[in-house]
Amino acid sequence: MKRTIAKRLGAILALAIACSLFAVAGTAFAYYTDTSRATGTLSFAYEPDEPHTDIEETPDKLGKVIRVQNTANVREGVPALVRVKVIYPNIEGVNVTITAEDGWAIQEGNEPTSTDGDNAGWLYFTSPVDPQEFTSQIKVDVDIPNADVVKQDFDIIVLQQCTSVSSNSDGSSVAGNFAGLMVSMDSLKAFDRYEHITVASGEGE
Amino acid sequence: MMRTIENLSLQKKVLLIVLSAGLVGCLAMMVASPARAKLEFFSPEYVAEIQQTHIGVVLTEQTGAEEVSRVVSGDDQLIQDQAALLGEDLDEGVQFDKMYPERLSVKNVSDDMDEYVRLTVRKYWATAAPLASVSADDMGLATIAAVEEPTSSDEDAVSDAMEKAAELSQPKKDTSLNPAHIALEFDGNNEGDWVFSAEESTDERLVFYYKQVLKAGEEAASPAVTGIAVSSSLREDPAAANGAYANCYLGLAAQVDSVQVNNAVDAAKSAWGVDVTQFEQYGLNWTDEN
Repeated sequence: MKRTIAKRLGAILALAIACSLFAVAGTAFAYYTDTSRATGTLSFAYEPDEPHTDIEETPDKLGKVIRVQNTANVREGVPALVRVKVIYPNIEGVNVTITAEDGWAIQEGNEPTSTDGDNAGWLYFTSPVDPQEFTSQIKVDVDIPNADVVKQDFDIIVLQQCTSVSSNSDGSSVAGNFAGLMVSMDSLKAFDRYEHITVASGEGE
Repeated sequence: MMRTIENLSLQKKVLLIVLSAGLVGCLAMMVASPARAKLEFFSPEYVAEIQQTHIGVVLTEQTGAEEVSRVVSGDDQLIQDQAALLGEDLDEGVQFDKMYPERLSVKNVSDDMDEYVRLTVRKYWATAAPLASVSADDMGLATIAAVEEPTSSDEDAVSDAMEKAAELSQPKKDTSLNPAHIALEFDGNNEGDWVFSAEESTDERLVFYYKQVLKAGEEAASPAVTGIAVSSSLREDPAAANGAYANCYLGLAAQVDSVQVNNAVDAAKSAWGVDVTQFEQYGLNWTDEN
């Protein structure tokens, strides 16, 4: 009985000491820290325009040099995909050569002939053109070896279309919807030169 | 009780006396500890000077061509001077890929304590309902509209409704818009005064640690963030084509945290849960007060 009381007394004292030590030591866990915050907002608005492009033509002897500019405002404009068609006369004695710098391509089997089907003969610029930027050049050369045999006037007509950039159905590459025709830029064949040579009826006589 | 103690062996009596003395000693320490900072008495002959130790840190901002930094604290305080920030683009608005000078730094405002600091910057998009679009229902005005002769309580209700409308038109963080389109300029190579913690950073949050001790009263030698821009990648975001960014706000939130210089590594670990020794390879030195 006496031992039990002594043990209890000892245990209570030991517990009291432990508690008081913990209370003293607890203050040592606090560190000096401080924090300060600030926030703010800035008004911002972006409403993208539809793509706008324009042809820049420079006369070169009988032919012309062509490039296309994305004329959209730099801030609100969007990159544009561009295609160009050159319509030239099929006149005996008039030879036409179309030469393109890097970046132009055609659909397989759709050479830039003078045929004017909806999607025939288009040259596609495969990289999106940023606002205020240009495509590389296309040069149209016209050669008339014998002017005497060409009796009529003719024009070299350039058409261009543009569209916003989208992806093809599986999202793997850049594509554009040109007049309802979805064209994937990866599917095109690089284009550099096309010659339309005619023989005048009077030649060789 | 006394008899019980008397009947104990000498060894146990000694043990009890030692334990009792220990308890008294501990209690004395508890009482004496806070008394260290307590003024015991005051008389004309003796003046006791007490200095309360305080650690303090604030954010500073320097926008555009401003020559000196300003202390900023609280909501709607950052990037408020749009004329200074945008300069010649004030009328046209933020231009894509153009870095606008916005310097965020920190200052030790303690009187007598040096400190180590961490800066966390969050960038986000916010949207707000235009004031004109807040409906009477939103404001709780629907039941008041029909009152022909408003009483003072009706007028109070209108006043409350206007406050509510103003609150509804405040920009609120919009997590559906991509914060990656907001770019901040900083030293990602850790060659300057700050270490960029790539591991703790995300598209929305950037975390920086000041390499050296920040002396009392001093500002960091260089800002952690030096510019802000909106990337042209936003134009390729499908949400942009749908008008998601047609009427929004670019948001910036900054928080600076500081810890004491003594046992700073342990203090940072305890207060922030971060082991700053991982940044020693980039020149951070928080192990000594240097």
